Amino acid sequence: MSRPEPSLVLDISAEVCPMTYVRTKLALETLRPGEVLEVRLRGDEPRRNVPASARVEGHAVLGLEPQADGSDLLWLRKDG
Amino acid sequence: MDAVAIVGMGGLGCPASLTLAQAGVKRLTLIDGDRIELSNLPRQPWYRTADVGRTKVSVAAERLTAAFPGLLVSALFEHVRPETVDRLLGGHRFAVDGTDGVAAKYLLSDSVARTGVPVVFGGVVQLEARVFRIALGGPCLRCLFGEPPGAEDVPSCARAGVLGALAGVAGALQARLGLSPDDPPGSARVHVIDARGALRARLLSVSAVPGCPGCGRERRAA
Amino acid sequence: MREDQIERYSRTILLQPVGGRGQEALLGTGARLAGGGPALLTAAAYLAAGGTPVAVDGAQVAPGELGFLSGARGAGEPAGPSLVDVLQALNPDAAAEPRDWGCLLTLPATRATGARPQVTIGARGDASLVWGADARACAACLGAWLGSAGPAPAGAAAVEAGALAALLFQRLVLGLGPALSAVALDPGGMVQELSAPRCPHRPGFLLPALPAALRHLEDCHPEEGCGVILEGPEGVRWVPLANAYARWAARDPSGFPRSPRSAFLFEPVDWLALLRAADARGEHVCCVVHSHPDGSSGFSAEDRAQAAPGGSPLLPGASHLVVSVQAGRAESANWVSWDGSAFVEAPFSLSGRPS
Repeated sequence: MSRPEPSLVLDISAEVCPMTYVRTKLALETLRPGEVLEVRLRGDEPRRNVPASARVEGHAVLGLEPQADGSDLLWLRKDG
Repeated sequence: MDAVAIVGMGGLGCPASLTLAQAGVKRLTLIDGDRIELSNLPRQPWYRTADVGRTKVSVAAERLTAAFPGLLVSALFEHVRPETVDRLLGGHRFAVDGTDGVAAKYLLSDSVARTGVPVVFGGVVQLEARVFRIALGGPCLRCLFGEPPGAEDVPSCARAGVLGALAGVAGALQARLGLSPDDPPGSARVHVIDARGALRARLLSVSAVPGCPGCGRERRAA
Repeated sequence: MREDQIERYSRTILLQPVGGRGQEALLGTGARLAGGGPALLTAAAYLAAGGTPVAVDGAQVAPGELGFLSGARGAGEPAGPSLVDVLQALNPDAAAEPRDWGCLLTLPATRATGARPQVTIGARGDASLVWGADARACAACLGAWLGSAGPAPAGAAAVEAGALAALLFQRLVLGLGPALSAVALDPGGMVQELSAPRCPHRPGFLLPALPAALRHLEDCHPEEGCGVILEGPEGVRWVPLANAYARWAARDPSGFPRSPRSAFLFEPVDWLALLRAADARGEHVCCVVHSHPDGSSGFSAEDRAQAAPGGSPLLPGASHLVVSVQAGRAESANWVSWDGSAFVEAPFSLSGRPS
C-alpha cells in the first residue's frame, strides 16, 4: 500500500501500555480533523491496543505495517 | 470479630479503608502486593509523591494509624491467591474487593461460599462504577456476569482510564454496604453509578442463579 | 504538560471525555475551600490529587477530620506541616496558581459566593446532599435550594460525600453535566441524582406571554397597567388585572395619596378569584407585571414595599417585570427576582418583539 503522508510522526516504540495510547491520544489532540498521525510502536500489546483504542475514540486506522527491525508503523487519521 | 479485610489498596481500597476507619471499625487487614507508582496518585489519596516505590500496604497503614490512633492495622504485602484466599479472609466480618483484575475478583467471589465471609464487590471501568455485596446464598459474580472473560477479552488501553473521585465514591459505598447490609438472602442490590453524561445512579435487583457453580449449595464444601 | 504530569495523569487523560485538554482544564481551575469537616477535606484530597489547585484559607481544620490529609497540623497546633504543605506533598500541582477559581464549601457557610463552579456539601434529613453549579446556573435557584439544607455529614458518610463533591467539581470544570444539579446519598450510601426545581427566576420563559402583556400595558397608558403571568402545565399565559388604585384613592385619599399614573393595586376580590382559578388549572403566578408610564423601568422603593411588606416577599417564588411605557409604547424593562434575601434587578431586553 502507498504510505499516507503524515502531518505528525510519533515514536512510542519504547513505551508500554497504556502510556502508548496516552502519547498517541495527546499527539492526535494537536492535529486537525482529517490529518494523519504516523506512530512507530513495538510489541504485541501496543500493536493490539493502540489501533483498537484509536478506533473506539473515533479515529480511522489507515494501516499497520511491520518493519524490518521488528517495530510497526501505524497510520491514524484524526476523527475518521 | 470487628475486623474488616480490604483486598487491594488502590482506587477502591483507599476510600474504603478511610470510610471504615471513620465509621469506627477497630481492626483493618490490608492486603496488596503492589508498590506505589506515579500514575496511581490521582485516585489513591493515601499516597503522596515521595511515597512512589514504597509498598501500598505499608504507606496506607502508616497514614491510617496516624489519622486514627485507636485503629489496629495489619499490612500484608502479597496478592491474594487461590491457596491463600480462604485463610486471609477468614475471621473477618466482611472483605472489600478493591482488586483490579478479573481473576482476583472471581477468586474473592468464589471464596464466599466456602468461608461465609461476605465480599463487597467493586468495579470501576472508565466512568462507570458497580458495587454490590456478595454473601452466602448469592448472588455472586458468576450469577451476574457468567464465566470470567478470557485473555482475548483484555480491554484496550482506552479502557484503562479511571476518574479518581468516582472510585472514591464507589470505595466508600463498598464500605458502607459492608457495614450496613440490607439485602434479603439470595438477592442483592447492585449499585451502578454512571458518570459518562449526566450523573446517573441506578439500582438493579439481582437474584442468585439456582445451581450456580460459584455460590450454589453444591459448592459449600467444608 | 510536563513529562511527570503526563505520567501522573495518564489514567485521567485516557478517559474519552477528558484527554490532555480536559486535564489542562482541571489544572487551570482551582477550588477555594470554605467550611470544614471530613467531607470537605476528602473532597480537597481528591481534587488536589487530580490536579486541581486548592486554596485552604477558608477551611477550618480540626484534628481527627483530616483523613487522607493526615499529618497536617490542626488549628491552634504549633508544630507540623500545614494543610498546604500536605496538599503539596500529595501533588505539587495543588499549589499552582490557576487561571480561574471555583469554590467548594460545606454547609453551614456564607451562602453568597459568585465563584463558579461552586460545589456545596450539606444534608437534608438523613441524606447527605452535594450540589454543583456552574456559570450558567441560576444563582437564585441555587440559593433557594441550599436555603433549607442542613450541615455537611461527618463520620462514614463524609468520605462518600466528599468524593462525590470532588467528582461534581471536576465534571463541571470539564463541561459535563447540567448547570445546576444535586446528588443525594441516603443513609445506606445509595446514590440518587435530583433534578433542579423548575427555575422561576430566569426571564426567558416569559417570552410567549410577553406580546399580550406589553399590548395591555400600552393600552393602559397614561396609567400604570398591571397583571400577572401564570405558568402551568400548558405553558405561560398573560392575565391582565384592573389597576384599582383610583378606586381606593377615591375612598381613602390620605391612605392612597398617589395616582394610577404612578401606582397600581390589584382589587383583592379580583386577585383572589384569579388565584383560585389558577390553582384549579394547576397554574401558579410566576411573574407580576406593571408599567411606569413615562418613567424609568427601575423597581422603585414603593414597588419594593408593595412586593415585600416588612421585607418578606408576598410571592417569593414569583419575579417582577417593570416596563417603561413612553408615548404609548413599551420602551424598556427591568426584571426582578428574589434570591432568598434580597431583590435582584437586571435589564430585560424588549428588542425583537413584533410591533
